[in-house]
Amino acid sequence: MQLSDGVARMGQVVFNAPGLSELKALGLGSCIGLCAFDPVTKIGCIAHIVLPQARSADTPEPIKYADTAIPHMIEEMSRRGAIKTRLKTAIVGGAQLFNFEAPNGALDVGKRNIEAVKRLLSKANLRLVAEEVGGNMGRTVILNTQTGEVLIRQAGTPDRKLATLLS
Amino acid sequence: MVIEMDSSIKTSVALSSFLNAAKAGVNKAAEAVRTMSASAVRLDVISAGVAPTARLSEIAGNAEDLVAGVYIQVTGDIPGHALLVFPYESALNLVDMLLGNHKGTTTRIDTMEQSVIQEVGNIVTSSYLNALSDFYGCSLLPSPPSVAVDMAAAVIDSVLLNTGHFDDDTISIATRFAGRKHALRGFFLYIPELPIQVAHYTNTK
Repeated sequence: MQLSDGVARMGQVVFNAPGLSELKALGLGSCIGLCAFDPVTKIGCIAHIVLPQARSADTPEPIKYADTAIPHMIEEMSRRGAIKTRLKTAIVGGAQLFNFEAPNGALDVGKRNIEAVKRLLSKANLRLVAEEVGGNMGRTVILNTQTGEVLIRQAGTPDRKLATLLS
Repeated sequence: MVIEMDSSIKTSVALSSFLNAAKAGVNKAAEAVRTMSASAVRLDVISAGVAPTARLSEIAGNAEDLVAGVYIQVTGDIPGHALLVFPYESALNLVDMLLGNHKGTTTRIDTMEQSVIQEVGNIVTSSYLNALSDFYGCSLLPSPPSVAVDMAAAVIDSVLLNTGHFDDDTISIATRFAGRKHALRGFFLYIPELPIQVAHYTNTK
């Protein structure tokens, strides 16, 4: 689904389009912002992933879950003309803002999201070029598809560059 | 006031009784805020009933707005999750009020300010839980409060995801409160874990 404002809300993915080269996922807490970019065609996206695993593979919201988001994202990028082997990815998020115990002593969702996304990127043979994950602060991630730059914004600090997803 | 209910549970006694209890709780919590801030506080229930948990992520306002959030996990007969959120400015004003400072004295939230906000979370949530436990005659135990000062969306998603029920419908009650005198604004969200099970149970019987 293409959103005119370039903001990927929970469970959504945004792609660049004519006149839209700045993609964002705002205020990620335990969620993950997955940026993917083909530096040759300059086709890019940000997926706002919420949970590690979907209850069923045919979920109506494939981007919401890491296990369905990554194949779906690759397919959509390819359909737009990106070449899978050229894709470079960066991940941001997976924080735990509050200091509390997860139910049943399980790992917190942020950590589980990070692990799932990394495992699935590797399984899909996608290159993870940069990451800023974990910790206890929320983050906004911005992908500029003209420059391939990935920026991070945190509360009370100026934007800073995480990486440039060029070859 | 907006009441939204899943039609399959609409007739559930459990749901309506929870909402009654929750509203009594909200009034108690508002009373606590009134006493603390020594000012009139206006309350609006912005959503109450059964809705997808994910939908609650929108109630805090702009994703990147700086807020102070207090999260308290509740265990006992009706486990649940309580979240009290103040816009940053309101949090600063609140600290000034409680420490007896002139408005504008507090300009940042450090350890000491955090513990003041924690205490507010404790008082508001305990008032709420007392009303709920009186109503149900059950025991509800709040965890120590945890404070985060961060972007609104990050604060909300952290709590919603950690309820472990993000994919489900949840019963929740969200209340916005506003004090006239001191520019105090905020909202209180409570997500109980048991009543929806009771509601489903009652419904399928």
